[in-house]
Amino acid sequence: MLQSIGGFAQAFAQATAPHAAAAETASATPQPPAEVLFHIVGIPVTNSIFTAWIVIAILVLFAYFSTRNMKSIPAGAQNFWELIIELWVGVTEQTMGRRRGRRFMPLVVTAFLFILFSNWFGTLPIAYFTIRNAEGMEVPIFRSANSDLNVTAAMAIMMIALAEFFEFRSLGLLGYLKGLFLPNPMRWLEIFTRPLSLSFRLFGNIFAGEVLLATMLTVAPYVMFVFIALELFVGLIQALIFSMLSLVFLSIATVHEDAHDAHGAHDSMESEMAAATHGQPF
Amino acid sequence: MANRTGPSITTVQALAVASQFGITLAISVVLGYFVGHWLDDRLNTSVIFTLIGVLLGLVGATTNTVRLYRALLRKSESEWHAQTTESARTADDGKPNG
Repeated sequence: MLQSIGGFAQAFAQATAPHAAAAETASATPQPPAEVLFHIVGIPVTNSIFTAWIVIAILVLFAYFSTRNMKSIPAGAQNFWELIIELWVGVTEQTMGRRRGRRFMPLVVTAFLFILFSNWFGTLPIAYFTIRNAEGMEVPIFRSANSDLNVTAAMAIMMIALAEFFEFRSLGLLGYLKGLFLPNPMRWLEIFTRPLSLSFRLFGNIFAGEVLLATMLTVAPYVMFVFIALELFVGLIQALIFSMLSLVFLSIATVHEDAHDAHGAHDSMESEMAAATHGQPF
Repeated sequence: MANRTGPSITTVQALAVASQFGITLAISVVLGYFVGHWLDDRLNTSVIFTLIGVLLGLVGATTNTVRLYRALLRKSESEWHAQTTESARTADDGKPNG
């Protein structure tokens, strides 16, 4: 057993060594700015954006082909999607109630799946394949989308802008402006710290993981599996944290809608209790 | 649903709050420092606004994290109240009259 693992590790090291060596000629370890692969109508396309497109394509095709013939008794890939949806229905309803939970679940689950698959994509050995770009530099073709600060910042800004928009819509202009200073006079600080914290945490963890994997590949390629497993776990945890925090920010922003609903008795106690007991996966 | 002794949050929620606290604290303090430093430069006031900025950053990060935690607890709290009310009602219904 140990011999077979050792043999596989040796084969993996040999297979990736030329690519690692080629990457070393450009840069020893991954650099924070993503490398430009090619241009489309003068717009540079980096390897992180290219990987993001591939992840999106994989997710869309996988979702389409596994759900086009859905059955009441799920089989095959339909099980996977039902598992994901049921887990997140439980989480969202537990965090913000049935009505609001169902409303925001698609957004949060989309972010979760994109982040998760992007993170895991970065741990694949294909991340070491290189190509010569227009500038004549040897650059990796694939790079986890979340190891580029531009991608994580874009996602974080989108989430926080949505949360602020929903808060503005539910409170009105005066209520929104008042809420920035009352009852918590430092509430306005959140507008700056939330997107920064969301984007830097995700970028920092994933980029550090890529640097760790690249370093360990040259230092100790035989124990790469340990670090790949660690990165798979970190990728899952970071995807969960980003989605969970986005969900909570959206929940805080729309909490006033819940108060209106309570007066209108849209959500009965029975349905709330049913939603609460539906599932507590984490 | 398991009986709980009080409102609680899940492991992932706790992890999210803990992680958010650390990074918010760092960002708020750094933001406060730079804004305070900029004000000190403009007003020639030594380090007064830098100190105020750092302190406001600390206070802001703490209060915002508490707000985040309370928002997470709110739903759990309402469920817990509903559960305890339901239990009390069931116990009352079970009592003999007179």
